[in-house]
Amino acid sequence: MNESIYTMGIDVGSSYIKTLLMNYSDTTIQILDKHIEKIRKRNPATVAEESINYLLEKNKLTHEHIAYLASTGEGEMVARKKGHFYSMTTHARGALYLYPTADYVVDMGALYVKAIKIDHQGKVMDYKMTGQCASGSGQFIENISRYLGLAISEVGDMSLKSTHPETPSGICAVLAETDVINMVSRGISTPDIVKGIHISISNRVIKLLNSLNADGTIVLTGGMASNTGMVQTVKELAEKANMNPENIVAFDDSIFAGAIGAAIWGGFRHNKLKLKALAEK
Amino acid sequence: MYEIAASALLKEVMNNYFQDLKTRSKPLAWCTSVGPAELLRSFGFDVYFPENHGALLGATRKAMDYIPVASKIGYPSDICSYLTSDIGSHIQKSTPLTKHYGLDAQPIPDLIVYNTNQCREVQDWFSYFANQYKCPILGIVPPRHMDEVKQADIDNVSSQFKSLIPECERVSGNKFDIDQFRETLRLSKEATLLWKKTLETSIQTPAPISFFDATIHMGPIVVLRGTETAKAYYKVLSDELELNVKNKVGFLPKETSRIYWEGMPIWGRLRFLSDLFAQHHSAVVASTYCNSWIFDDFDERTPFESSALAYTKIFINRSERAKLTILKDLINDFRITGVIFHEAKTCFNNSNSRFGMPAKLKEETGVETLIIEGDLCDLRFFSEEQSTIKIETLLEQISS
Repeated sequence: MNESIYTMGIDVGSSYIKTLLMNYSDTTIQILDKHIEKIRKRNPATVAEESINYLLEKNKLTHEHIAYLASTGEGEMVARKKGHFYSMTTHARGALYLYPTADYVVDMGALYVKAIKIDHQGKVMDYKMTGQCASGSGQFIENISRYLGLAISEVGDMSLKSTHPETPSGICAVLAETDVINMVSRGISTPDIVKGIHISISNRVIKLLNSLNADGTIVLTGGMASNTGMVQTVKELAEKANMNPENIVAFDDSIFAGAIGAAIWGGFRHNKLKLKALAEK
Repeated sequence: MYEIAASALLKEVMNNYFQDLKTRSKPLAWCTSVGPAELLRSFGFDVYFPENHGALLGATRKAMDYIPVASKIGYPSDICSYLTSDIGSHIQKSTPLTKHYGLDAQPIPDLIVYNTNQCREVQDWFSYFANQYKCPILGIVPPRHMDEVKQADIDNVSSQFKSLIPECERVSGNKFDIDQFRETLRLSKEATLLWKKTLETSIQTPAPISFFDATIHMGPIVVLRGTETAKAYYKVLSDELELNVKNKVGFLPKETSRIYWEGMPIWGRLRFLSDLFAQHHSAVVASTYCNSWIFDDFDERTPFESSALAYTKIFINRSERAKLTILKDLINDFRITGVIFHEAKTCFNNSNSRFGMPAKLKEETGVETLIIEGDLCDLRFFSEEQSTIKIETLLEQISS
């Protein structure tokens, strides 16, 4: 079935909602538009609706034009979704779109880091997640950057200026925050503190990848993959762990990987259902 | 909506058990859940199991109120949450036994007996109460983490069982009667075999009893071993489930995966987890936990030796190698397609995910394994969201 359809993917995270419009057929996939919105203290279901409407209106489309609206992440509450896909499944497929021969995906989100081994159809073969402490998450970076008076967009570049990084506790977010307060009072420079946090989180990424025996191409996705300092730090630690840093890649659209995967799986499911309906006739 | 009809009888059996404890017509012994209950009953003791109270504190989610109370007197919240919640409940003079069974407090013991075949924590836990109640306390300390239970081990534990007799005679006022012990053990074995039969009905598809239901229906095999009541209850339950198997009636209309639960139940989230698996047509059909009350080595002809063997051979007291073999057999028997390892943060002894077991099991069986973090009672260690992500991904990975 090679008919071209519109699909939408909406990835509801705990900090941001990522929405993406796609032109999908079984042979070609084209991202038409995308939108990212910070939830702040609003109702995620409302922000999701507004994001969908924003993309539709911007592209002069109505909801009826969308053959399949697929949600992922926390998106089960999206009222207009046709189907929901689990986040590891969508990140796996999204990563393959970004890098068609990817072997592993590391979804570095606000709450968790997930390392996923995938096959070349985007099927999840194995996975590991960080434990229960938030010190391995993007939310932790946001909290610390707020404490340091930095915008979240600044922390990546800031970390690249570090000369003597100071690493906080990697066990507990509360202890790590206390460590950071202590570092500030000791006069440690902001770049060194920020770099230390990047190292702490990257250590967890490498630990997850090691537990999967990762030895192929690794695509970083999720919000933290947009942070150039974080990508750089993951590569540095990978090299120390005898992994090839060249195998670790991130893209401008890495933060949209979940939404991309949802839109692709939505299109795939739409066509499959249509074929099934035709066969039943 | 699938329901097990025997649940009404279960409620009655458990209520009667607690009402008997309330009337205090017999001397009362406290015992660990895999302790020498049959020997104690043969002296005429009623037997009470603090672990059952721990499970109740977990299931009613009261544990989190009591754990900080125990922490205040030096029992930190990262040690056994049965211990901390039970001690906290005692200090607070408050227990869900009041609401559920009309008991003002845990019944006061005349004798306390533990077996460290599960963990050393029970010794410290029970010693606290022995001190509180100025009550005699006896312990069995078997060899631990065994590949095989050898004759020397049986002799060792058997002689420890025998050494309990004088104090049991003194406290109960009854002389030891070997025939009474044999009879209690016979009843216990018959109940335990019926419990095994109950659990094994879920080898079939559709499975008639889930792990989550079994954690509730296991009440009598824990607290009433060695009684006619337990035997009669499991006859009713196993008959009902066998009939369901015959009629192809299961707790899920459709099974797309069959899961084994390794480790302790998360008592306060049984319903949540049961619903989560059911939504994904995933049948959780077997567990280490429920299987731990199958004592098919009991033999009334050699009551001391066979008790020693059965209680020393339990899963939790075995080496990693022996545990792996047991798990592989159960995975094979129950046609398991995925294994959940519950890493209970306050129960190191009953968490088997920390020495490479999930990876080894996957390597040797090809069955996917998943570790989820949580706890038996302390839900502060359990993240619903994180566990859901992990479980849903596993189920998608393995579902047929």
